[in-house]
Amino acid sequence: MNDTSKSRDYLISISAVILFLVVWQLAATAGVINRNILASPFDLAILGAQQVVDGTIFRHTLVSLSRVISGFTIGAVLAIILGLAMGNSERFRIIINPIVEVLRPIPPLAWIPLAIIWFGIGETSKIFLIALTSFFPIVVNTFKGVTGLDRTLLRAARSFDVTPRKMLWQVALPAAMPDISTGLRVGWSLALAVLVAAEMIAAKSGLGFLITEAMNLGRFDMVVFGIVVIGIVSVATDALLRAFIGRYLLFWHRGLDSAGG
Amino acid sequence: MDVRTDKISIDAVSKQFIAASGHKVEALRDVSLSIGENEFVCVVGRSGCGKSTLLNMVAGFLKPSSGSILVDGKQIEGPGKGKGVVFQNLALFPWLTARKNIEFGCKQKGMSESERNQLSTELIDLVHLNGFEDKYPFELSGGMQQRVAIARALAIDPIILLMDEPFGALDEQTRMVMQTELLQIWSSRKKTVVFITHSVSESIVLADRIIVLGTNPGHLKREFKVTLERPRDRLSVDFVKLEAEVQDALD
Amino acid sequence: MPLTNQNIEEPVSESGAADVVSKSFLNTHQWLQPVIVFAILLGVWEILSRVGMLDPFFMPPPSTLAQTLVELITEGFPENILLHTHILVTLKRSIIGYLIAVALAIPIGILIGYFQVLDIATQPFVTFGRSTAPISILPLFIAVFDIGEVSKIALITFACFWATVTNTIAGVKFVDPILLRAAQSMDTSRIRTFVEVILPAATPRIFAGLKVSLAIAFMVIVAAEMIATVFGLGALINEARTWFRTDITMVGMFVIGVIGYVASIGLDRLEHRLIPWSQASRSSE
Ligand SMILES: Nc1ncnc2c1ncn2[C@@H]1O[C@H](COP(=O)(O)OP(=O)(O)OP(=O)(O)O)[C@@H](O)[C@H]1O
Ligand SMILES: [Mg+2]
Repeated sequence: MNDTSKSRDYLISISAVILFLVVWQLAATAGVINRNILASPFDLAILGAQQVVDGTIFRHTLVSLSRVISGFTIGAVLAIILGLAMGNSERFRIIINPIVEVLRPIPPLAWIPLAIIWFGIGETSKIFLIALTSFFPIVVNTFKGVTGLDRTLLRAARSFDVTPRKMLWQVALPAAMPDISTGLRVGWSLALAVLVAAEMIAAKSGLGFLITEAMNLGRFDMVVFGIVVIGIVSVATDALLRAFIGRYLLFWHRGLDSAGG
Repeated sequence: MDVRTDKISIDAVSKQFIAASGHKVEALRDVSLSIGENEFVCVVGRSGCGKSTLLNMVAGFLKPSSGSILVDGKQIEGPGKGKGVVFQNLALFPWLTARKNIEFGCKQKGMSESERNQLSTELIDLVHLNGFEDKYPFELSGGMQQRVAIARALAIDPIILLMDEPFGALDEQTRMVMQTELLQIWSSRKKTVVFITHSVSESIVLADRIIVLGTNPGHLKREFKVTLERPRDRLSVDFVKLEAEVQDALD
Repeated sequence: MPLTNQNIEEPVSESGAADVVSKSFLNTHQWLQPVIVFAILLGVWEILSRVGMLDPFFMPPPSTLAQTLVELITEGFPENILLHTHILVTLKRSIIGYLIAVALAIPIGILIGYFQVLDIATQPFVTFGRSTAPISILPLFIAVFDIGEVSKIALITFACFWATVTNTIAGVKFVDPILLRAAQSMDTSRIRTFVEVILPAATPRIFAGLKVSLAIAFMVIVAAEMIATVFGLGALINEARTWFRTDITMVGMFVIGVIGYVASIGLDRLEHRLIPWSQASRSSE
């Protein structure tokens, strides 16, 4: 795709967004939509500006982000280690795989009550929940990546007398990396959504809390603003994660193509 | 050799691609070539020299960056219209069985179901796929898939048949049978064939003329007229001599 | 010597007859492995509870959980709402929401995927919609539709819509260009190319979207039911928590897991039925 058609695409996208905002604003002004529930873009912009100036929104965003990051890191590290171990040791796989397969169908949000029972409504329960949420997609993808290893690749590596250890680091891990990366991205976006839900159900800070509190106060403009911020955070962090993966994990790969939703 | 009118004329064709990195890749430079009506032309050349690119331009999938390609004296307007293609990577429809794949083109022409059925049965016989006609492509071996692709191209009874390494995945035995069948079809139904292959001996068995493409960028390197009487004996002195010459031109 | 080593290729020649025997034994009795693992696991769990090493409040033993399951089926919780009522309520909400989402998302996704301008114009919205945390929309839906069934169903519809639409768009958009060329070379008209090539080529991705959406529907409904209702499995496990009935929470989670599992198996079967040819690409799932 050349530069002119790319900038043309941007133009179309941006015009569509502007059109959408204008129609929304007009509908709000004309009273077609209830402004008490769905604020107009203009009102939202003002609200956003206030929130940015007094820093509230940053505080909640940071709280949520730090929760997701700590939980995600724990979940991802555990998942990659277990996934690799399952791929490399038969005995380990026989024990761990059934447990993973039994727990996996339980949606992460269904863990919220148990997390609260086990760890209270503080930080620990949220980090546990996020770790758990990110764990499953990553472990499954890592395992898939290691077992789906190209047989010829393995054979090629063997024929060079590669030691098992080197095999892990220099063949198995890099070859599983595309799958692991998929797992990381799925895990991350899921974790973010789950955290918001958890914060809505039981928390005293964070973006999810912001939304429930606004709801309880009847401030639906704040609710909409919160939704938008969460969306932006999600899009932005996914872009960051993708850049990180492309840069450090899949630099040898052709780059992430658009496959997979 | 009878004198033929030009069916396909390729005139000073060049093709550049813009690679994903943004660099220009020159695939073909200044290729001129005339292919007569009912002529059987084989194109050989090292991997990456632009054989598929040339074929795709004749097929109407790609436009030359410069130069022109005429069929029957007219600029080609696009794919189809009597140009049958066997793709290098087959392009079978994975959701259709072998038979339905073969019938696809005739269905587009509006042929009745019974006619289609009869035709596909004949073709299945021809490419020796009996017993596999109701299998999906993923259930077929690479060579079987290739034969489905060939049958599918033949089904529309094209005037020009463009084949990109169609026998590449076949074992030697099947390959020879298919070569004979193809020659049979070609001579009985009179088609103009452009056939890409990596096998020098295959090109000599089949072609009226062999085009050798050179690399970097792809260009016309040499041409060989094959005047040996068909069916050609691979062990004959002339065959072996020509084989050595073509091989030489390739290296 | 590992038992069934499918992961890392072993040369066959050296392994000898014994290995072949053990392999075939395990292949025919493969279900035994997880059964043994679980038997041991449940046994250890039970014993640890009995000897007091696991606090029954945090981790009720399997025997208690079994009793709880019976209790839920026969007496119900909370307010004597029986387990099957919870299940039916949850299923009804999620299935209705899911079906509405699918009915909207597939045609819309096909349109967007087919017309490039639409795709470019809607891209910001799709990216954003897909990235919103579905539950965060619930307050808005409650405000609009009130707290009853409609707001929950609307939430499911919203949540499932994006995954289905994204996959449908991708399915239509990323049809292997070589297949389109093949169709062109056989003089296929635009409409027939759409119907006979693009649509079938898109079905595996659409199905992938349907599967993801189903998982999302189930996840979202459970959370939505934790807010302001006593009906449904989500309500069950959250109410149980507030009554300090960990056993009920855990049994409820188990039931949720089983339903989710059965549903995904069902969709797999359906996929296999409807598009058997995509088996090859599916086996990696
Ligand atoms: N769509 C494309 N974009 C960029 N470069 C391309 C594209 N198609 C082909 N090329 C380049 O053009 C050159 C010729 O490719 P082509 O496929 O025609 O080779 P070929 O002779 O058919 O090779 P092979 O025998 O391996 O099939 C190659 O260098 C290839 O990298
Ligand atoms: Mg080629």
